Amino acid sequence: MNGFSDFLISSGVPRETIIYILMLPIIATIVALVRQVIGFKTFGIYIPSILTIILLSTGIVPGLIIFIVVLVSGFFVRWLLAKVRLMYLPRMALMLTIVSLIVLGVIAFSGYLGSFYLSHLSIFAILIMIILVERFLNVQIERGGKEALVLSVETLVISIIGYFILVWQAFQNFIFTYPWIVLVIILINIFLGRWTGLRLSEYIRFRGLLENGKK
Amino acid sequence: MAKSRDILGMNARTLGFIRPENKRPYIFRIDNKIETKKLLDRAHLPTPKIYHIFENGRDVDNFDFKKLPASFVIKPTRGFGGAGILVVYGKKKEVWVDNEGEEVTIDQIKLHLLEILDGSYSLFNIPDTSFIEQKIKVHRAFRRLTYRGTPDIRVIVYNRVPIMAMMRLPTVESGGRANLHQGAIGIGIDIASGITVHATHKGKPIKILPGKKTKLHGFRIPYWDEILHLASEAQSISRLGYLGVDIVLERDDGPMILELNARPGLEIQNANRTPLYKRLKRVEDLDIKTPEKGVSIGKELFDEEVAKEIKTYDEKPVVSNVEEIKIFGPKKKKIILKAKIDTGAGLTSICEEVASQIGFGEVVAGYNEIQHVENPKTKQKATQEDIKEREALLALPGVIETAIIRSANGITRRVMVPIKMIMKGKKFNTVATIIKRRHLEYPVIIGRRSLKGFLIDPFAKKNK
Repeated sequence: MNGFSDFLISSGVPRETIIYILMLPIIATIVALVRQVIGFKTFGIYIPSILTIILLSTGIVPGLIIFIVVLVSGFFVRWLLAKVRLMYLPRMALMLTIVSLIVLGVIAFSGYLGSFYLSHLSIFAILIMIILVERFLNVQIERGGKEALVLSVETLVISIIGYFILVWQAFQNFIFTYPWIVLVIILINIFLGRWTGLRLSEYIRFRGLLENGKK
Repeated sequence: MAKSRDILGMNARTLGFIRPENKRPYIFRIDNKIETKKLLDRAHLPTPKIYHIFENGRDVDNFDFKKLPASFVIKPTRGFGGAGILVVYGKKKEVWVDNEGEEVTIDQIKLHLLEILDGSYSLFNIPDTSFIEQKIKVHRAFRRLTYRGTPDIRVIVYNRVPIMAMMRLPTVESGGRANLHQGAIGIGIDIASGITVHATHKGKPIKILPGKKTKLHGFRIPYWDEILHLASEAQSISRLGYLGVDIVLERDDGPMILELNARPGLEIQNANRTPLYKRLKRVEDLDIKTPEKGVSIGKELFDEEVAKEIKTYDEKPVVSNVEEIKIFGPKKKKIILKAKIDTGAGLTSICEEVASQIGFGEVVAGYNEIQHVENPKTKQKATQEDIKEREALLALPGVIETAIIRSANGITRRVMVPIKMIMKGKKFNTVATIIKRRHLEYPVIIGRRSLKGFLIDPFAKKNK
């Protein structure tokens, strides 16, 4: 059964890459499941999936530190720039500049402390997190700060769950050995895509209705 | 208790109603506020007037802002969730004032327009257009409930039938916006009667306006039938099967359609304490040809029992020329009788028999023992005898004042006593004079001073 994985390995594809590629649909399905059935709100499906992979590549602690730094500084800079009326794109560019500088500062500071945690971060990981800030701020403008905060926390929680599933050695081996298992994902998603039941969060939202609403 | 499968959740809304009923090009059309207005105009459905449309920066440069009226609203054409809306309330000489009372200069207005054009408030920041429209003046009926922004009425229409409705009341937290998830109050409305039934605020049921004493239920929405018709018409012409129609009541122009929404929220179920899915299922297979039919079916099907039990507080009871009343004297002694409504009389009067029966026996006896003045005079011209008589009458238990009454029997000084009355279900305190009226048909005559809060229709159906 693992002939395909073996073939890839023998062609020189790193094991890690194969696992990451196979894990991506699984992570995406977890995000879909958590959204459709539990009712978590996230920044789409791309951001939580990519964040999970990033956490995997940076390690969970440095990944989370950078995520929080980026988010908090994004929030702070927006608050700062709200007082100056600027057009959208220059404002965003200015924000990305300041956030980048803050991240650089944090990395320098961690180097100064002698912790090599943060200095090994890939630039792509940081860049992707900065993209996240733009999404975060858009939600903040469109739906308010509280909603944006809820969204980021829930995105983070899903990514952390995804992270722990991904680093689970037995699961990695299983996926590696039986890559075709990913096909099951298709069935799960077709089911999820047709499921019209109430989400878990909606049971809470409409609890008043369920308890004493009209029939 | 409602069952979970009767409630409309996100998944069922999308898969069961929005996807099959709302086709993309039509959704795209109503997501564009200018296109929506054009559509409504063509169908002669009222909507706030557009003063000017800005397609690009040149339009902003070329527009003479001094032409703008004292109040107006700037909106992004494809904005949503109320973002990017600037409301200008009034004008002080050269500058305008926004809802916070802050000054708004022409430069600020221009910058705001440019921001909108640049896509700051559109979904995914796609460059947008902008327009300036008529500002809605809040209808008098809503004034008591409004303390920020403009309340509107959301009606969900499916298959031409108004399914559920609520009033959305902006609050300080919602920043004047009518979106429930931003903190506005949702007040459920009975489809049949247009009377508010329940309310929800930030996911919790509420009964009174926060920080005030105003009840949120039992409020009758004016122009209710017109609102339902507008909503159904709008759904019909929008070509969207499942639609949220937002209607405002303009002080001078009446109901107007503000916006159409292809993905109306689900919180309306909490505001009405009624699940949506079951209602939608009931009208799904009906073949309804006209909005008129849709409205009458909706009113027939979704008639809330609660609305009948709730007393509406904005309604004045209508009385005829003769009404059955309950009258209470001291120690809650009461009798039920027919009274004559007489707006020719200032004071309410009751005859001695009635007065005795409700507990003013002593007053009646006392009144008849006292020596009465021939032609009693008012205070300024009062004689010694007048003063003596008045003091003697005031000394009787329960008498609060005396009055001089001119009638066919001549001028006499009478006593006034406090009474309580229930007429047309309304309970109120008033004062009555006690008179001799043995030969008259009605032992009680209700005068102007006791008729506050009633409407009089001499041809109204009389009580049995």
